[in-house]
Amino acid sequence: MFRFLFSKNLFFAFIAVVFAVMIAGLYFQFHRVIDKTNLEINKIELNRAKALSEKITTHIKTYKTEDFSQIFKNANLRKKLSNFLSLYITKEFKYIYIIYKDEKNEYRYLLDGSSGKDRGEFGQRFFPLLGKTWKQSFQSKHFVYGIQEKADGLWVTFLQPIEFEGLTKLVLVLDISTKEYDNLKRFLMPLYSFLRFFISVLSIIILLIIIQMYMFYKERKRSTIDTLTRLYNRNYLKEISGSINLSKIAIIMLDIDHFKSVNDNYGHDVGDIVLSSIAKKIVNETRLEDRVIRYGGEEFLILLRWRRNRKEVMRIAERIRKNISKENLRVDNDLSLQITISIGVNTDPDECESLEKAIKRADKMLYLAKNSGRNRVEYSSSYSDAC
Amino acid sequence: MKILLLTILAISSLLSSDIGQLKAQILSTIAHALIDKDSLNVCLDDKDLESSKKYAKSLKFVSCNKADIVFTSKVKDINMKCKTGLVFATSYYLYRHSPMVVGAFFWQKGRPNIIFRKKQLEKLGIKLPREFSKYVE
Repeated sequence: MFRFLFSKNLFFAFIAVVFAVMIAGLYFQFHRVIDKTNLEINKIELNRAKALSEKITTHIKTYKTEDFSQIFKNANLRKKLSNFLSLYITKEFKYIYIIYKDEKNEYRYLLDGSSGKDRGEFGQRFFPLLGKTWKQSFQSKHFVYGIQEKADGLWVTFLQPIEFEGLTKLVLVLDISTKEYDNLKRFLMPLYSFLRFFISVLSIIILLIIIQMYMFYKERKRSTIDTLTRLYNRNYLKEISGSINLSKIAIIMLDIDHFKSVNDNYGHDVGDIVLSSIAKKIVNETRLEDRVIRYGGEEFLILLRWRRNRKEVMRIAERIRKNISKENLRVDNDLSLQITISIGVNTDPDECESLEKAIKRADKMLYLAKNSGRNRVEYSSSYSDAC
Repeated sequence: MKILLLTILAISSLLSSDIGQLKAQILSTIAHALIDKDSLNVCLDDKDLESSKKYAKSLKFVSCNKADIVFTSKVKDINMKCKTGLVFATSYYLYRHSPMVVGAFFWQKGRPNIIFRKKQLEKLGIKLPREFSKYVE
């Protein structure tokens, strides 16, 4: 059941991860599409702006005699040209105007096609937001543009220098509104929002699966651990029994001698202390890859992983016995007990058909050790001890 | 507050999505640059700037006769009604045609514009922090 659930959880986790990766891919791909579309619209807008600016510039250049001074001197001409600029104002090209630099290098309006509050008067200071782009426009002979992230309702500002005798005297400005950008947003944003919502929901589902898996592993671990000794219990043995390769282990079965009398004479609390102390000692004598299991009341089982030779197994079993019996076990300041253990060892579990039978063989050896006077180790023999 | 550059303010604040908030910050900066007082009484006589009232925490909005400074889109009769001579226009047209206004703050082509009139500043004995000099005409 555990294994089934475990594999089922892993399967769902795998599906969730694959799904998450796919959605993340979709999300980034979608972002790329937005960026690319944005760039394409930008290009189209710039081409339109370029075409329009050429048309306007050609017209303005007809007044460039005497360094455009006609325009500066003649208010009627400025009005006429501002009206000319206003003809090209659309929802897309929101503001069209011409800027010059005065002797203090400050930007000022020369012509403005705008109307109402947005109209800049002749000579009025103009405060640009894209300072560097503006500087560039007066130094360059080709158009420059800047993305308006700060101006209200503007997307791109297109600047076309107007030259006189090789020097940029004026700059034609086309402020492109966010209309096209808003259209793009209006078209793509619902999809984008849905995708974000979808990703959020998916993230929550994945998180829930992770939490569920964590709880499952925690519960699973709890059910396989003995609460008193913190050793594995028989649930664990049952769980791993199917995956154990008998040819790669040795089995040691231990039992505390006269444990009943400890409980009877000193009470169960002392008995518990003895059990947990012995468990600790056994764990200290084994390696990480070995498994120490509390098999029954005062019975312990050691699965020595990776088969060693018979002598080595015998040596380990003997070492455990000696270490436990060599000194009294101190229960508290007033009480210390002489504890011994009996051990039965199955050095060749692969001679048995199953783990159950292999354990029974070790148990039989333990029984023999008990009957032979306790505090000793008995080993199975291939010739005499059948599984 | 005075040491803040208006430029930095305008640019950084423009990142804020709420124009009302930005307008409030600019109003507050202008008022504090002109008057050296912690608590300022301001009269706001421009519908376009109404939205900024809720954001300008350092300013107290009062009627014209109690104000230290008036931001207005119509200067007419202001001298008779208001105790202060400190008037700031909220349109360029008003700034151009009312020599008594000390400066102008207005929105044009999606951009904030700020101008201070040198002559009027001198007349009122106001010395602006150096950072504002680029806005003085």
